[in-house]
Amino acid sequence: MSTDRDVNRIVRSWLEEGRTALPDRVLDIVLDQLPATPQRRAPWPVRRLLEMQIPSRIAVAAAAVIALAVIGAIAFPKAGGVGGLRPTPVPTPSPSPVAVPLGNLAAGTTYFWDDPCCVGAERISFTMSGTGWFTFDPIFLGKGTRNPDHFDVYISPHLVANVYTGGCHWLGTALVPPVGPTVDDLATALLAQAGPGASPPIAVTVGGHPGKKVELSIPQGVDVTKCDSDGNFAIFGRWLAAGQRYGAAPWTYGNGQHNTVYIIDVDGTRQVIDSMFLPGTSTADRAEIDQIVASIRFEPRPASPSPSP
Amino acid sequence: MPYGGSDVDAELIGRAQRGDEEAFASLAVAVGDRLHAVAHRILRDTDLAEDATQQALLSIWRNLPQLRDPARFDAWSYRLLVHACYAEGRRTRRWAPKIRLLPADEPDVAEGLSSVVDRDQLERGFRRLSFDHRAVVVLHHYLDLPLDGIAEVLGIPVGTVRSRLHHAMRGLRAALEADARPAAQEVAR
Repeated sequence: MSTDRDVNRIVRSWLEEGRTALPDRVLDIVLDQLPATPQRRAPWPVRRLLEMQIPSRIAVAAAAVIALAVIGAIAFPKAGGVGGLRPTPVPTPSPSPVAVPLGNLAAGTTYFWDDPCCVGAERISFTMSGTGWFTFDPIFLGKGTRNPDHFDVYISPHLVANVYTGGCHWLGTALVPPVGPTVDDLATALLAQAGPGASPPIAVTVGGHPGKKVELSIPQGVDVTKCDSDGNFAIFGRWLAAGQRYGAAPWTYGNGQHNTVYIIDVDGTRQVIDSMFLPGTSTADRAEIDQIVASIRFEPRPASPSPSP
Repeated sequence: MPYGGSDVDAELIGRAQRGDEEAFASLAVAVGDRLHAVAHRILRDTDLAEDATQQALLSIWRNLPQLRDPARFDAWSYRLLVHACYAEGRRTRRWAPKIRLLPADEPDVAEGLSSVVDRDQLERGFRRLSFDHRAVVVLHHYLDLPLDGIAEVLGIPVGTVRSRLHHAMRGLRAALEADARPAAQEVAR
């Protein structure tokens, strides 16, 4: 058994090893980008105000009040012959979806996904059901019921480019030609991958759009730690994500993992919503996934960029 | 250690704040290695570390005019770097599944067996940590930052720093003591 001091010493010694020098080419890239990278300056009035002496600040503040009053008088005409400004209506906040943050998610809150990695032309909003959901990455909402750092259940959007036929040994088994663009193309390919005994796809409607639901289980007896790797991690390979040239999805968390894959036709774009649970996951947690899926809405992306989480 | 008080010339920082690209180039040379060293230790990947350092340096350039106290440059720049590391880590993690394959680095015969084992166990244990936890370990045990210094860099309460460090070190200790465990059962978080 090591003492804390031993562990600290070993960790410090280990951290001392490894690269330190930044390659010149990285520095060159940074310096090349400077002319095209504007600096963000603090708003001028604020800085100036902070630097001023107190009497000057008071004078500036008074001037600002007068200027606002003049602008207000011009902008808002007198009402009904009675002097004074028309009261400014107070906007009522409307519950609008917020971008999925990193960290804990609040039950009852409506969030949206819009990352183009995984979401098509229409962003996806949904309302969280249940407690204990969190994210390491805004695209993956999960819950670790037995280990807080390890998902037992999750739900995530995907865009799929192709399907592997090999499952555990997926390397070199991508379909040629690639899977077709329709919901049925993907459902059929995933069903074929699942092999004999798999449940046929079920017609579903998600967010008012038609689609298919496919249930996929990693077969009993398959040790997922022995599956092909993308170089770092073992994966039971189902599909190749859009925009990727290598690797497999979805993530594999353990033996016996079960994925429910919703394949939705959103006005001509094939959107996949993948959910997963491991054996032993409670029916309550699985029901929460169903409730989240039932709350999904597809909506146009706003014209302005959405706030980053 | 790199953190012990800023050795970066305040006048250089001031010139870079006013948009002097030459001054910023000198600044980047002065801090580039230390930022990269920290990024490499948090991300455990050469390419990702270079990308994170590049993003951090550009972020420093962009936001430098808003740094009010040049004496706080070090803590401020480490904060931007750690955020760049989080972003790089998340970007790649999106495509990375959770089951780690076993390892397989050949031991260097010139090294003692125990150090090779320790290094391998530590590498696996460290990779199981979240980026939040990794950052705290690196800032404390590599940069020698005190807990309140880490809290300032990360913008979190000292109690959270203490909790993360405790959790991370417990994980690393467990990794070091895991040599009896069958490696094939390793499951990354």
